[in-house]
Amino acid sequence: MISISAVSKTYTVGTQKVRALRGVSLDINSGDFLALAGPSGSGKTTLLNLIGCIDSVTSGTITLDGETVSGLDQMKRNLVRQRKIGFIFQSYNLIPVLTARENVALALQLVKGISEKEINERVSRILAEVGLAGMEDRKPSQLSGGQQQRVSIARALVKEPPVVLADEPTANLDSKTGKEILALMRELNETHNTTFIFSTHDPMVMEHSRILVKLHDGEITGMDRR
Amino acid sequence: MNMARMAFRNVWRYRRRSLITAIAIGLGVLFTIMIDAMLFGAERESAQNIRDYETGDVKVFAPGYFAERQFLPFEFFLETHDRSLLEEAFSQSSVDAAPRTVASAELYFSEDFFKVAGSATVKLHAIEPVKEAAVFRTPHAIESGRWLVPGDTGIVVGSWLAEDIGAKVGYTVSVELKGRGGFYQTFDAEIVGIALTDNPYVNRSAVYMDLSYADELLALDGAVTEYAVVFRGGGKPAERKGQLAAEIAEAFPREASGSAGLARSAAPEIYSWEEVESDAVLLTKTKSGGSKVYLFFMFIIAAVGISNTMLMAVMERKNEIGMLRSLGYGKASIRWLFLVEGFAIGLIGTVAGTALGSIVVAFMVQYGLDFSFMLREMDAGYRITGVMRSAWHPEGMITAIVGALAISSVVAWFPSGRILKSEVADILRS
Repeated sequence: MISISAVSKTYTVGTQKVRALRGVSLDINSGDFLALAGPSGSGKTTLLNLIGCIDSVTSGTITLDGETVSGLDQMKRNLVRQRKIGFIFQSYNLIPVLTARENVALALQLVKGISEKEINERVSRILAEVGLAGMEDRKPSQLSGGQQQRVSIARALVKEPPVVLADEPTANLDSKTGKEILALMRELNETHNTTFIFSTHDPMVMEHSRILVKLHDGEITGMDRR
Repeated sequence: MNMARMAFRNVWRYRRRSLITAIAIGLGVLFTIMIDAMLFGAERESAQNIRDYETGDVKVFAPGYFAERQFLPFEFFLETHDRSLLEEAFSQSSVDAAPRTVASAELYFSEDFFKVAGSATVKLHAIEPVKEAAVFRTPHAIESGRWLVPGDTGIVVGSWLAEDIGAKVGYTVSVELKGRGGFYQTFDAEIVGIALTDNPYVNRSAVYMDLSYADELLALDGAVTEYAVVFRGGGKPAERKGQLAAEIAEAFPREASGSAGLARSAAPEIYSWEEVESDAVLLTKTKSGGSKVYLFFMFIIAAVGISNTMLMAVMERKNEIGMLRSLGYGKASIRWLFLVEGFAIGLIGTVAGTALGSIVVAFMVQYGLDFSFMLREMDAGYRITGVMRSAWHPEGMITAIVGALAISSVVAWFPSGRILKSEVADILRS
C-alpha cells in the first residue's frame, strides 16, 4: 500500500542543515493501524508529512497505491491529498467560523461529481458515526476538545480515503477522552479498512496500535507487530 | 460555497478590525465622491458662466485675431462687408449673434465723484445692447441702474469694480483707450448701470458701452473685433459649429479680394468657447487632475490599511491555511478566500462611503459651499463668484466604487502569496 524506500529529509535552519530523516525504509499495508513513536526531533512528524505529500523528500522514494508520490510537483501532490489522504491534527485545525457540518463538508467540496444533497447525507452519516449526531450545527467553540477532535476525524474520513494520518491526535486531550478517540479510530479502521498512521509519544496510543515503529534521530530503531 | 461563506463569516469574526478597515475605505470613497462632485460642479458651472457671460457657444474673429486674443489686439477687424456676409450666414442658421468690439481701456475716476482719485485697467466691451441681451446674461444681471439702450452714451460696469473704486450709478468716469489707427481717445461717461453676475471676470473688470457710440469715438467705421454666437434649437455644439463654419465659408466665396470693388478680407474664423478660453479650460482640468492625485494617495493609504488587515488575517490563520492545503485546496482557492474577504470589507466601506457621499453631494448640490470670501479676492481660475455647488457625476461615483472594490480585492491577493509558496508542512509548522 505504502512503500517508503531510503527516504531522507534535510532541513536548512538558518545556515545549519538538520537531517530529520536518514534513509528510512518502511512498508505499510492496507488497513494497518500504525504508530510512529519516538522522542521530539526523532523524525516521526517529518515522516508523516512526507507520506501525506505535504512536504517533499530530499532523497528516496515514496509510493502510495503503486504511484510514486515523492517526486510530484505541488499541484499533483494536491490531487493525491484530495483523493487518498485524510489528516487529523493535534490542535484539530477546525475553521472557527464554520459549523461541525460545514467543517466536515469542506473535505467533500473538492470531490468532483458529488451533489450538495449527497454531501449533506455523507456528512450527517459520518458525524453520527463519530458520535456527534445532533451537534452538526455547533461551531467549534461550542464543542469540547474531544468533540472537536471527533469533527476532525469525521473530516478526515468523510471522503473515504485509503490512508488517514494523525499527528499526535491525543496530545491535547485528557486521558479518558484520548482513550475514547483512540477506540473510535480503531473502530473506524476496522469498519472502513482505512489505514491509520499516527505520530505519537503517548504510551496509550502506542498500546492501541497494531504496529509500532520506533524512530530515533531520523532512523527506524525498531518495529513491534501485535 | 463554503469558501465564500467562510470569507464573509471571517469578516464578522474579526469585526473590529474589519470595521476599522471598512471605515478607511469608506472615508476614501466619501471624499472621492464628494471632491469629484465638487470639482465637476465647479467645472460645469464655470464653463456655463464662461459661455453665458464671455464667449457664447462660439466666437467669430477676423483672421489673425485668435492667435493674439489674449492681448486684445486692435488691428484685426471684421469690416462692414464682412459683417453683412456674416449676418446673412447667421440668418441661415438658428443662432443669436452679437457683434462686439473688445479693447483694453483705462478707467479714471476723480475726486469730483469719488473719495479718492485713481485709475483701473478694464476690459471694455462695445456692444449692441439688444443683440447682447440675446446672447449673454450680463444685461439681465443689473444690480442697480439699467442696461444700455441703443445710442446710449453711458456705461455699465462690473459690481466688484464699482465696489473697489467706490462707484455708484450716476457717477461719471473718464475712459481712455486707443482708437482704430492708434490714436488715443478719452471720453467721459456716466455709469448708468452696475452688473452683478455669476462670473468674477465680468464683476472684476468688465465695462460695457454702446457699439454705435464707440464706433463714433474710436473711428471703427462699422467694424467690430468679434461676433459672439449662441446656438438655438439644440444639436451637438461641435456639429453646429461645423455647420456654421460651412455657412460662413459659403458666404465668403474664394474670390480675389475686391472683386466687387469692395475691401475684402479673408473668410472669418470660427472658434468654440473651449478654444477661445483654452487657458481657463486647461487650468480647470489641471486643478481637477491635481485633486485626483491627492485622492489617489488617499486610496493608497486605504489600500495599505486593507493589505495590513489581510496580512494579519493570513498570519493568524496559518493553521487554517495549512489544513485547507492538506485537504487538497489549491493556492488559487485560498487566495480567493482572502480576496473575497478583502472584497467584502471593501464592499461594506464602499456602500457606507457611497451612501454618506451621496448625502453630502445632495446637500452640496442643493446648497453648495460659500467661497465668496476667497473668490472675491483671488482668481482661482474658476468663473464662479461665491457659492460653489456640486453636481451629480455618475461617472466619478462609479470610478470611486469600482476603484475601491478593485483595490480592496487586489491588495488582499498579495499577503497570502508568500505563505502559499511554502510547503504545507512548513505552513503548519510555523
